[in-house]
Amino acid sequence: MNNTVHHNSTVIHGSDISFSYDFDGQLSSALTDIDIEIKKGEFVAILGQNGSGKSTLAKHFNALLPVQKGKLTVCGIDAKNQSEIWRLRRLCGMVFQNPDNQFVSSVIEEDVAFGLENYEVDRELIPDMVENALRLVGMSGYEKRSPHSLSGGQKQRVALAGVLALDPDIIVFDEVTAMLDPMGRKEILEEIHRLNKETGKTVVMITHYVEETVNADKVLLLHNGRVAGFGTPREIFTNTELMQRVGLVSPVPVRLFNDLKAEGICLKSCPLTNEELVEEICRLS
Amino acid sequence: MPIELESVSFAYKSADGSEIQALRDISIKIGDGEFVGIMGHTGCGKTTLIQLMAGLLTPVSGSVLFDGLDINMRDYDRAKLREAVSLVFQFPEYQLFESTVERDVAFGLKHSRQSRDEISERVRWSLEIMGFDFDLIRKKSPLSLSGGEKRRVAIAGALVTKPRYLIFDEPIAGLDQMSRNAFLEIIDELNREGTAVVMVSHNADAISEYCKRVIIFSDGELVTDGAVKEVFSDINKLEELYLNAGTPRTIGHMLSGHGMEISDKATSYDELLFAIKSKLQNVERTLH
Repeated sequence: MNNTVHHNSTVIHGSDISFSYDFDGQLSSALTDIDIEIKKGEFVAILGQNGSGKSTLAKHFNALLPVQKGKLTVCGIDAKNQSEIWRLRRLCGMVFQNPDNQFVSSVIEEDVAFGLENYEVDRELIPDMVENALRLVGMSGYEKRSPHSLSGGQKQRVALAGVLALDPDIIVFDEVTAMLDPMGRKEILEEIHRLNKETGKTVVMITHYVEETVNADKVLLLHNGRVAGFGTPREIFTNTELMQRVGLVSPVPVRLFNDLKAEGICLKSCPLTNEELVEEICRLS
Repeated sequence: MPIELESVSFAYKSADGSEIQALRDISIKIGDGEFVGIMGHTGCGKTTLIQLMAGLLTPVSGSVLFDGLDINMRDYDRAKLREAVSLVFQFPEYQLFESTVERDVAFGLKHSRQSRDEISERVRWSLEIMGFDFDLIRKKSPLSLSGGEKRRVAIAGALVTKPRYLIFDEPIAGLDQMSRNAFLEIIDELNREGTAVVMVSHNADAISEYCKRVIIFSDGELVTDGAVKEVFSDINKLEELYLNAGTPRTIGHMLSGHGMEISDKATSYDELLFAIKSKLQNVERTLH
């Protein structure tokens, strides 16, 4: 019972968030009146074109950017509260795009321990926590290696271990697949989904790859710094008018569904994945 | 007049002095006006290959010829190669450095013998090809632009010499699909006007839609070189190499596995749509 209530609690709640960057006195608006609500344990994808404000929004969640206007509460902490900023960052971890820019040590176990040391965790406890974090991302046995000897996907998993070691409630992934090859992308994406299911950690995943979001619980669509849509992947991707307006291309199965319909061939329901598409077509033939 | 690699091998020296073989005995000829995709896993030697083509690396053995001349001979005039072959590195947006967009794009012509007016015209031309309004963008700082804009400026800088060969290392990585398509359309247009394009990419969908020929590397060796249609129709071979054949071909293959025969030559979206449509319309005709 208690668990259910817990599961439905809101971990990120933002209202009317606006943000502008200041380029030598020239203000450039990046976010306008954003409302967002993310519940505990949810897998939410934030999707939008390059320059739509995705990363700017994500950087609000762990106070890397200050709330200029509006209100943001993360795990019950007001993001404007400077005295709580380090507690907030521990509860909401972030993994970034470039795997090479995130390492501080040339030995993996030291790199994973870096965050823990900064939070002055008892030194005796650190080795176990590091081991556990590396095990969670499937990188046990790599403790003594150099991060630079790893593949892109492995590097991102080590960066993720560094965040996991702090046992955050929320993990924000900011385009973590953008610099990886298809194998690396698949590897890290599966890892994130597994983690979300097995540990119940809330996942916020920023991406512009539409196909990567089909298995998310919810998709928040950003366009020119505003929320253009919020719903299940199916609700969002089958809304052709919306997708066109925000300049995104639907996954191939959705496009085929629409183009076949235009030719008078109606599949029973709109598929999101290749597997669903094949199933729907075989039903007709 | 082609770029030719004759039995080229290349090895990197590691810190302890041992050699890491990056490419083994590669022979390729790429002709004027071609549109070639290069695929393979991270670490397979793709980037090494294009750096050899552009003369940034010297082979350990074998030779690289441009217009029939060995570019690594001491008396070869490198200026000819630099003018005719432009290489755009991965994430070129990190390489902008001048104070204005105009100066950055013009950098490649700094040592050319062209007049100031000619250079200015060239810069305007290449920025306009990349979709910019020259007068609006010229005085801006490259650093004030968005990521997608920076990349287009960087590519304009590679176009400015009007190269006969444009070589790209992962040009669409990190771009959203609209930007991806817009970029590929521009490159396709340049190719139709005669520029040869060599594009290293992990994106099988992009290669199957735009390239005419594809070369696949695996562990430093050339494993496949052929027309895109031929290579992508053989999905089993691609799977053996842990590569995918692009979404349309993959869906066609899955449908064939479920009893709906889709031609293995349907490698682009439009071809797949057409194939499914004809199959389903036939079904309806039989039913009525």
